[in-house]
Amino acid sequence: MADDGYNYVDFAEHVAHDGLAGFDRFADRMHAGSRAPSFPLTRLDDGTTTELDQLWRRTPTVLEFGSFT
Amino acid sequence: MFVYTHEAHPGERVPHHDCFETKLANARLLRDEIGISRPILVDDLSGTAHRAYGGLPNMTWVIDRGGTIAYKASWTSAANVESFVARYVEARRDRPTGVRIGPYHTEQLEWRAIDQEAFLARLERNGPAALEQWHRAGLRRSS
Repeated sequence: MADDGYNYVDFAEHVAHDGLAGFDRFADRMHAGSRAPSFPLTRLDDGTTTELDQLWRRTPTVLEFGSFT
Repeated sequence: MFVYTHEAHPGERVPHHDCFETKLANARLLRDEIGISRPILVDDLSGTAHRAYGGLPNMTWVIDRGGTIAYKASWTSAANVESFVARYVEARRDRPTGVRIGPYHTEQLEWRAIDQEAFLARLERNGPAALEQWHRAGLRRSS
């Protein structure tokens, strides 16, 4: 997938280009009861790849998304 | 599980991700500074998973066994997540023998305290550019 400005350098420029629209769209997408999408992610501790759907194959999973800010 | 995403407020000390190695380095820095003991998963450089789940900076989702979305929150409140998980587990695991259960849908707005001082301190941690960009953006809420 293309970056599409995802890793922007300047937050003010990001805001000026409608970068905060996701806050308004959040409530209208991917509702409870629907299927969670799965993607391959990298485990920080050992660099291996984990498919999200392998996490919830046997047990419920809490996914918290975040960074420094 | 903690999913490391991108830096919403990049600065000189915690820069934007120009390559996956930078992203991994920032994720390690976050783990060590904040003391995250949960397993950390790092999204790919273009944020494929993060963007698919809404792209917000501090979301939590709870996925049921098998892959059904059970809970979504645009902002993480540990107390709110813990309360939901406790109810969810109790309803499924602790029901009396012979009692059938079925799901129902809820939607509500929750409120959180906004600690602007702590938020600005985090921007300063990332670097002077993060602080300057925040003020130049002219926003009132912390995001």
